[in-house]
Amino acid sequence: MTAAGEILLGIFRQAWALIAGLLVLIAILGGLAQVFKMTGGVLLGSNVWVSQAVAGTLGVILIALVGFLSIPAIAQAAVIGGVTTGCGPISEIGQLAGMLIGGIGSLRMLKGTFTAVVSVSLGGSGGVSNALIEIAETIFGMLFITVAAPVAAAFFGAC
Amino acid sequence: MGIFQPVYDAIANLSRDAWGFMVGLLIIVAMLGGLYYTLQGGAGMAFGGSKMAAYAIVGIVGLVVLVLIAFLMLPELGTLLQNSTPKAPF
Repeated sequence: MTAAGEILLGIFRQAWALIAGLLVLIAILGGLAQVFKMTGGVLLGSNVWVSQAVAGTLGVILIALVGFLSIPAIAQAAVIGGVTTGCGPISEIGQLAGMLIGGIGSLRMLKGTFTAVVSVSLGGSGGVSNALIEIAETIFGMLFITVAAPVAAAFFGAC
Repeated sequence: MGIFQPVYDAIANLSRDAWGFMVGLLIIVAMLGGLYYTLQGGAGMAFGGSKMAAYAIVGIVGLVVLVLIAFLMLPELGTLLQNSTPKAPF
């Protein structure tokens, strides 16, 4: 079971690297698009465009940086407080579930950040709130499993 | 990236093309803007519009500074983001 979990986690790690790489690409291209908007605003004499573009450029970089720095810390905190209760098969299942939930949760949070960066690159703001909601849901789910798994282990009669 | 490497390579190639296209477009827009400001400044000087000429000079300088900042700042920010890309926390 641990071997199966390791295989799945390996795929998740590769997906993490892919999403992180794409996030960097989109952030850079989004920054360039905002610069383009800024230049257009300067030429047309539109102060609103220029200010929006400056805020957009900084927003893209800030959201990406905050995502990169905060998501690993949140994921590690939730995984550390994970399932260690019980023994035998229940413990193994619990550990596997904890690992998979940590991996999927981290990926979901990174996906939310990716959506937010794409949204800000396009000049929207709805994606950021959706991303925050997704991250909050994931954190809540990861915390919930730390309570639910020991209860389930006790229910199944684990030691 | 393992099994996702071909996907990343394809998207990275597309992104590189998009970057080149947008940089070219930005240069064209900046050059057209510079030409516009030059015309504005020339017209201002021709009939004694010192305000027009001053605006044109400030506009050209601002445009060049803006594009230069963009070309110098964005790659640095991109490098910063690439360097701070985290490893998988699980």
